[in-house]
Amino acid sequence: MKKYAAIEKQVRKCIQCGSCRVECPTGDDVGWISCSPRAKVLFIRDFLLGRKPTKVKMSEEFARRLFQCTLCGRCGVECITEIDFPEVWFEIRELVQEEGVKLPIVETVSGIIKDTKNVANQPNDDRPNWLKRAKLATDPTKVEKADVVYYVGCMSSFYPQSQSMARAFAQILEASGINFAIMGTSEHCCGFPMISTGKVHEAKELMYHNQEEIKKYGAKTVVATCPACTSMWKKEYPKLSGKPNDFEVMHATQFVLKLMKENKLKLVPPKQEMQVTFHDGCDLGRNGGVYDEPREILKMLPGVVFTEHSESKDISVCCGAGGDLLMTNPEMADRIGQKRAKSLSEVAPVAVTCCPSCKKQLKDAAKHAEVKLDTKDLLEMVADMLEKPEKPEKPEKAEA
Amino acid sequence: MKRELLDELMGLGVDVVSTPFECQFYGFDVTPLPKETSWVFRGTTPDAVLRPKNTEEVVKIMDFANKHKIPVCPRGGGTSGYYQSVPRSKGIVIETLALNNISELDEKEGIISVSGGVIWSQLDWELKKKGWTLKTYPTSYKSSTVAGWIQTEGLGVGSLAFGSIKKLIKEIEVVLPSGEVVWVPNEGLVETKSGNLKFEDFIKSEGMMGIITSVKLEVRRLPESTATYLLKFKDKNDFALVSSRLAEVSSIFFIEFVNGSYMDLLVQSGYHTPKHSKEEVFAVIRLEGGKSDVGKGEKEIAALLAEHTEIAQLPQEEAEEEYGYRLKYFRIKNAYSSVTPADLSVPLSNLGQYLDKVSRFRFEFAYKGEILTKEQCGLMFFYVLANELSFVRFMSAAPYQMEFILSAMKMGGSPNGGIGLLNTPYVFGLRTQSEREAFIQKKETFDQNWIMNPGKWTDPPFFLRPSIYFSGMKLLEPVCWLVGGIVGRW
Repeated sequence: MKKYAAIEKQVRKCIQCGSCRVECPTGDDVGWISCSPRAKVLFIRDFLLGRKPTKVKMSEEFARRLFQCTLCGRCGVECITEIDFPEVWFEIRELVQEEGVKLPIVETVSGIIKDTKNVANQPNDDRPNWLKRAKLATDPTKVEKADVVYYVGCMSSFYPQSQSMARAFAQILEASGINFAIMGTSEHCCGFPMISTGKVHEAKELMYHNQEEIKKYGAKTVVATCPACTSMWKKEYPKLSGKPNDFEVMHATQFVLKLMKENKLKLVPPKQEMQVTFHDGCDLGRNGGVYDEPREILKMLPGVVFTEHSESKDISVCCGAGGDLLMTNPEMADRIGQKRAKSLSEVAPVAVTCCPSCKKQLKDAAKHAEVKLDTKDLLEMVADMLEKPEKPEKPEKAEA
Repeated sequence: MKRELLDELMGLGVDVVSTPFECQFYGFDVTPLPKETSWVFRGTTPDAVLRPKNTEEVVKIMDFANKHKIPVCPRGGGTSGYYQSVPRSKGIVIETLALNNISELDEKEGIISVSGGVIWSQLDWELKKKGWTLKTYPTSYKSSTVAGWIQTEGLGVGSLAFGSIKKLIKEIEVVLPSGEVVWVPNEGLVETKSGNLKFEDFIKSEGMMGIITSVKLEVRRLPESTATYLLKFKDKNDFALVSSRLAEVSSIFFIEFVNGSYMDLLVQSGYHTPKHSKEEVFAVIRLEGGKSDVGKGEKEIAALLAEHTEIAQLPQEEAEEEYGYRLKYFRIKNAYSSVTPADLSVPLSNLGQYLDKVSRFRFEFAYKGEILTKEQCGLMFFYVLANELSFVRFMSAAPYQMEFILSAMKMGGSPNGGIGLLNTPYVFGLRTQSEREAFIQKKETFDQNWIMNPGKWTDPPFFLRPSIYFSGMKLLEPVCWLVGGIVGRW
């Protein structure tokens, strides 16, 4: 089999119609066709299938454009010959790496993950620090055997704007009486950012470590709050290791919906009615196929009025954080985020997400765009409505 | 382009790129050509690409181009397929996609004003938010621009109901090659510094007479009612027999049909299709309009089906699914390496006769057709030989394409999609001699430096001149029929 046969098969399908270009968030931001999926595919087709003297050479210019992509997969929805986007982008990024084109920023990002085992460039021992404010009865990092392992992921472990999501999910798990564990300091990055940079070998190293560690718990289910981590565990690990998982992998929203349907969570309506819309993160929605579960939860939550955004589900617009863009092209990511934040704010004052990256990105973008938009994670909303155990009344203070 | 000119261009204050990496992607449209042809089509990569955001910026570019006699090639979505939007003599490409303003809808008149670079799907999206929609749009709806389609006098989805785009335009704003800006109404003459111009001068001009920067376009309210059918015909003759009657059904909006071989390609591409044989023809029919009109149309179709019991009506869900795929007919590309179709139209009254004739060709092909107007039917033929990745196979396919088109022309048809560069050999079937002469004379008057989109049908390369092209093809033909006979099977 030819080395890049899978990519060749996909790029041969392209008819250069440009349907992918119009809705591409980075293509729209840059404007020039070189940033569109159409041109990137044309370049790779000529690189792989072209003949001398017109065969194109791999170049840094191309690599720069290639990484100006959030891997949101919208091109796959628009493609009229149904090219397997975003899968083919991962493969092309790997190809670029193998052809020896190194972008400094990409090397820096992957270097950080390799050294620290997380994307935040923090000591990995700090990974479970978010638990300190979770107020759990039991420390889940001390649990040795569990039915459920909550794989927290780098975003929810290290970034303050996303840590609340991890705390919320841990509280939900505890409230439902589930026996669950957290890997704590032995958890390493899932490898998604490595795959995104085309460094498959490095991603595999992270995978092997995580797979070995998780075995110890004997879990039946692995749940992640981050859609990218979910996708790694569910789709990429079996593919990269050649072995199926011996546990079920779920995103936290799927798990929570199950708990709600089993009446394992007692919810109390908030004091004020909340007007919300929903932002489908690309990795959970378009690329993960999870559209209904978050909406079902939203509809089951008391006191929540949900309005669907016109650009939702498979035509949801990326927040700009995906595909390592936030790390490689932060300004572009912010512009894309601002557009999405503005658009969401026109529908409701609160945007609900199920992805730590989207939450962080939309919060920052709304601030930069100066739009009135609060971004909430769905799990936090559920956790906030959990019936609190009654506190013993405090004795009245004796009058002075 | 010389360095000092590039520097001057950069100083215009318009977004510009000029590196070979950026410019290389503007040397193509949707038609795949073998790399070996690059020695023939030299000069297709521009020296610089500009993205003006408004009419004033377009004027600046035209002034610069005129001053230095630099060729200008306008490009919208780059979807034309006949190299209309690909330069022939380097120079400047003006990409119009940043001319993307959508103004307020005049609900009383049913007219919307848009910039020329607005993409059809984006315009429709905005209209639908207000309860309105397009009357007609191209099948390249997702990526082609309003101004681009106007300049090929587009016929597409909905033109069966509302006619060509030409009828739906009220007025256009054009930046002439001289840099002068004029508003041209659909009817009557407009005075310019170089003489009088009329709407028709731009409608098939393919970017050779100026750049359309704004358009006032008729639109409609979302239809109150719709109905969709998927009908199966025993063969092409059965379909041709009722095609004119179908085109006359009340509130008819769209009719598309494919043959069994096309269905085979869909199956090979991994799609579900109804059971079929190669000879059968499947037609998707869509009615749109007021409740009573659609109801009337439904009754007319019911009567037709009662009269022609050999026509089978397939389930509603399948009909809706097929209609949903109307813009994705190239999804068959999953089945084989390349698609370089013969794209043409024939008079609807000659459809049966034409399909009979081409069915006698000695190689297998699939086709997809669309009834464009009550008199005209568009057809697209796909044949396995056409493969741009192999120069031999690509060249071997050329005479086949020629056969499809010439056969159509003998029956009053013509190639589709305008002339551009690649349809130049068929120019005599698309414009009469007097039309060609009049156009060239007008161009000489209004584009004295001949800067607007040069090198297309008005001054083509030597080998695309009809006499040269057809002589070459005749020489190639015997070899090609032989090659086609051997490898021209799916």
